[in-house]
Amino acid sequence: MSEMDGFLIQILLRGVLVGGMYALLSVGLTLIFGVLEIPHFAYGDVMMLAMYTCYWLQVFTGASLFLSIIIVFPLYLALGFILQKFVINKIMDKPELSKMLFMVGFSLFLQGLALFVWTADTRFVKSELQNIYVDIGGGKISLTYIVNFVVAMLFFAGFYLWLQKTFMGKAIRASAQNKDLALVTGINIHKIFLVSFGIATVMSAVGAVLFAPIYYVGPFVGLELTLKSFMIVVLGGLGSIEGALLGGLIIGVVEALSSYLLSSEVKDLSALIIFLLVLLFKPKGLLGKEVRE
Amino acid sequence: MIPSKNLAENKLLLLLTFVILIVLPFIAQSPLLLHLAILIYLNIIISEAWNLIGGYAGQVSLGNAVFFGVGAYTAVLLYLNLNINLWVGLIIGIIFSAVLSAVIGYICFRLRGVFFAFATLAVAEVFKLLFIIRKDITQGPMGVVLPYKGDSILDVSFASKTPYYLLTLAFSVLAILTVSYVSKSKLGYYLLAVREDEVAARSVGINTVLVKIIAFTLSAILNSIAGFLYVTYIRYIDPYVAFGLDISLIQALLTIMGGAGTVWGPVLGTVILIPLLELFRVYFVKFSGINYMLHGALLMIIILLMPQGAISIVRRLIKWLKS
Repeated sequence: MSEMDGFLIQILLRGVLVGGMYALLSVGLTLIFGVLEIPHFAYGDVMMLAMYTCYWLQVFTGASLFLSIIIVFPLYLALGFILQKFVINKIMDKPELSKMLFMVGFSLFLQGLALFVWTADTRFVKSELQNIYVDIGGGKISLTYIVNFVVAMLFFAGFYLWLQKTFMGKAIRASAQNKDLALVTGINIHKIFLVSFGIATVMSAVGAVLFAPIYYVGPFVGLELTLKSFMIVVLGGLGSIEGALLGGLIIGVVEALSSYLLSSEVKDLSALIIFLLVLLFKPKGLLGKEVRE
Repeated sequence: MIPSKNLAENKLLLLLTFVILIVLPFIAQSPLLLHLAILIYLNIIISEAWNLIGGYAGQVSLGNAVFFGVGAYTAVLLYLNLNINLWVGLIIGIIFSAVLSAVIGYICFRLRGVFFAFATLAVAEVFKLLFIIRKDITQGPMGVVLPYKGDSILDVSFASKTPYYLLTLAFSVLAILTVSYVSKSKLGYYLLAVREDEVAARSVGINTVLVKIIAFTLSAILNSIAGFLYVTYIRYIDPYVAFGLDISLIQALLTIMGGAGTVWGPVLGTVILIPLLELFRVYFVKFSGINYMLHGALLMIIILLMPQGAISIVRRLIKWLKS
C-alpha cells in the first residue's frame, strides 16, 4: 500500500468518525420535526449552551469529558422539558412559518445571552485523550475521535432501541406517523411532545459535548450547528433515524475529503453544495418516505 | 386597504409628506438625524423587498442577503478593478441579482415552507464562504474599502449626508411604489392565491413557480439596489455583513412587525423599529449581547402577540377615529 492510500484511508476514517458524532447531534432534530412539527431554529443554540456547560465544568471542577456527560444528561433532559412546557407549547397552534420565525427569535435570544454572559471569546473544550494517537492504516488518529465516536454510537443505538422497543418509543413513532390515529388509541399527545422534546434535547446536548473537543465553543457556534444538523437530517430524509446516521456519515466524509483534496476553507462549502444538490434531485432526502401534503 | 373615496385626499397627504421629507435635510442639518433617516430608508427598501416574497407570496426567504451582497460587491469590485463607473455597476449588479434570483428560485421553490427558508439560508452561506475564500477577487474576510473621491455624483461620493439622504429616499419611494403597483396588479392577486393555497392556485391555472420567481426577482432587485446604496454610503463592505443572516433577518422582522402583505406595513415597522434598535445599539454598545437578546425577544413577542403586525392596530385606530 502506497503512502498516499494510507493517507486517504486515514482521511476517510476521520470523516466517518466525525460523521458518527454528527449523527448523534442531529438525530434529535428529526424527532422534533417529525413529532412536534417544530422547525427548531434554536436547536444548535441549545447545543451551544451544552458546550459551554461542559467547558465550565472542566474549568471549575476539572471534570473529565465523560463525567460532564453524566452531569449534562439530567440537566439537559430537564431543560428540554422546561423549554417544551414554557416556550414550545406556546406556539404549537401557530402556522408553520410563524413557528419558524419565533424559533429564529429564540435563537437570537440565546446567542445574545451567551455573548453577554461569556463574551465573544472562542474557547476550547479539552479531552484527556486528545494527545494519545493510534496508528491506523499508516496514519495517526487522535484517540478522542475514536472514543467519542464509539460513545456517540452507543447513545445513538440506545436511542434507536428505545424508540423501537419501549412502549413510549412506539407511541412516539405512532404519533409521528399519524397524530389523529395516535389520539384515538388513547395516547397522551402532550406527554409525547414533552418526552420527545426532552429526549431530543438531551441527545443533541450529549452529541455537542462529544463534538466539542474537536471543534470550538463560542456564542455563534449554534447557527453553524443548526445548519449542519438541518442539512444532515434533510439529506438522510426527514423523520428517519437511519437517515440521520447516513446523512451524518456523508457530511463527515465529504468534509474530510474536500479539506484534504482542496483546502480546509472549502470544507463547509462542499457540504453545503452536496446538500443543495440532494435537495435539487431528491427533495425528500436519501431515505425519506413520501409524506402526505 | 384605504377606502377609495378618500383616495385623492390620501394621495395629496402622501405627496405633502414626500415634499416635506425632501425639504427636511435642508432645514434640519443634524448629521445624526440624517444618518437615522438614511438607515430608515435603506431598511424600507429591503423590508418592502422581503414583503414581496415573504408577505405577498408567503415564501419565507432567509437568504435575501445574497442579493444585497451581490449588489454591493458587483459595483465596488467592478469600480476598483476595472474602473467601471459605479452607476453602471449598479445596473450590472441588478442584472446579476435578477439572473441569480431566477436560478436560486428555480432550485429552491421545489421546496415548501421551512425547507425553502433553510435552502435560501444555505445559498446565502455558500455566497458568504465563496466571497471569503476567493481572496484574489474579493479581498476575502478583510472586506473592501470604497475610497472617498471628494464630492462627485459619478463616483457616488459626497462629504455631506444630504445627497445620500435624497438617494435613499428616492429609492425607498420606488420600493413602496413597486409593492403598491404589484399589490393592485394581477401578479399581486396571483401571489396571494399562492400564499393562501398553492395547490388550489395551480389548479385554476396559475403558473405558481413562475409567479413566485417573479416576486423573488423583484425582491432581489430591490435588495441589490439597497446593497449598492449601503456600500456607497458606508464605503466599506465585507462578506459577513453583505451575506450575513442579519440582513436577511432584519427585513423579515421589520415587515412582520409592521404587517406582512400590506403596502405600508413594512414602512410602519421600519419607522417604529429602526430608531428603537439604533437606540439599543448605541446604549448597549459595550454589551452587544443585550442587543441580540432584545432583537430575539422582540421577534418572539411580535409573533405571539400581534401576528398581523402594527398596521392592523393603526387601521383599527383610524376606523375608531372616523366613527
